Amino acid sequence: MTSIFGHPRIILGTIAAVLVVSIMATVTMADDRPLTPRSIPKFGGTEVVQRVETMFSGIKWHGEFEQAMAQAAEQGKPLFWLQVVGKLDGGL
Amino acid sequence: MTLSEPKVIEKLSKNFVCGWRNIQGVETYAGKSHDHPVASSALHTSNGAGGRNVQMLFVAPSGNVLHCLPGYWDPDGFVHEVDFILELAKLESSELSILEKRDQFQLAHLNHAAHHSEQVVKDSSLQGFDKMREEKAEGSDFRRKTDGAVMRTVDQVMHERMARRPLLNMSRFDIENVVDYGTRFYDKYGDGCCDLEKGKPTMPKNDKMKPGKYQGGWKKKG
Repeated sequence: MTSIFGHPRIILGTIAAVLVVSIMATVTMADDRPLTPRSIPKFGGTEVVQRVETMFSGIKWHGEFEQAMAQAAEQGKPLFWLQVVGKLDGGL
Repeated sequence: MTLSEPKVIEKLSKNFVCGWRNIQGVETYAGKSHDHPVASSALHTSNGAGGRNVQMLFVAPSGNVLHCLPGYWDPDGFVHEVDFILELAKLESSELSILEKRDQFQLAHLNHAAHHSEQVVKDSSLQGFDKMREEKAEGSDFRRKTDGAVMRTVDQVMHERMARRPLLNMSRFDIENVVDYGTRFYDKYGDGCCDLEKGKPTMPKNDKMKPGKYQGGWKKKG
């Protein structure tokens, strides 16, 4: 069956194409929508413990700012100083 | 979990002296959080989330602060920032006059922010509860200048805040203002609500405790 607008398949196809274009345009234009952060793999508790151990074995951590700053000055390297609510090795 | 990534460990151990301290109950700007045992799961979040709970400071051997990354930072974004910081360290130790160094420090921070990848900017959106707080704050630097909407991202704002603090010594560095955004309470389970002044965090709205998940710390409302 045909109409003045053409074959039903053509009409459906046209509607589908318009919908797809509309959705894509909406997504492209909507720069105010919340953005999904890139994620690293989700880690379970056991792996978290292992990774914390890796962090401690791979980096020498100073516990006193003055001492760390003196080391930085002596070695001519910048200081990476981490401040956290809680313990680095014991959770928050 | 960023600091346990092999590429991050390599970058830090090779180029920096590292140290840490617990600011809980010590600093007035320190945030609040529920208890999280070390063996609890690590969840995904955005750059800058929990900025009052974690601060990563980069300080030149002279004691001048090069950069401050607050809260969580994605490993790729973190390494990108560290490479930039190493360039700042070279500038800081150069033979230029202090005025020239400060000028270049400011320009470097602003230029670096302008060249952040789309991915880094996307990764640095404010979380819902932090955004709500900034919407209530008059003159928040998270507002867009064009329409005033709180749509600016932590990566951009942090570089601007650092550009306004060119090579300040750690003793003069007002970290409480640098990390002043969002709520003081950070909840890793999502958009938690809280009564910060009374120190009584409550369950996130429309969320129920999930069986098998760590549930320590929630208090009943009212």
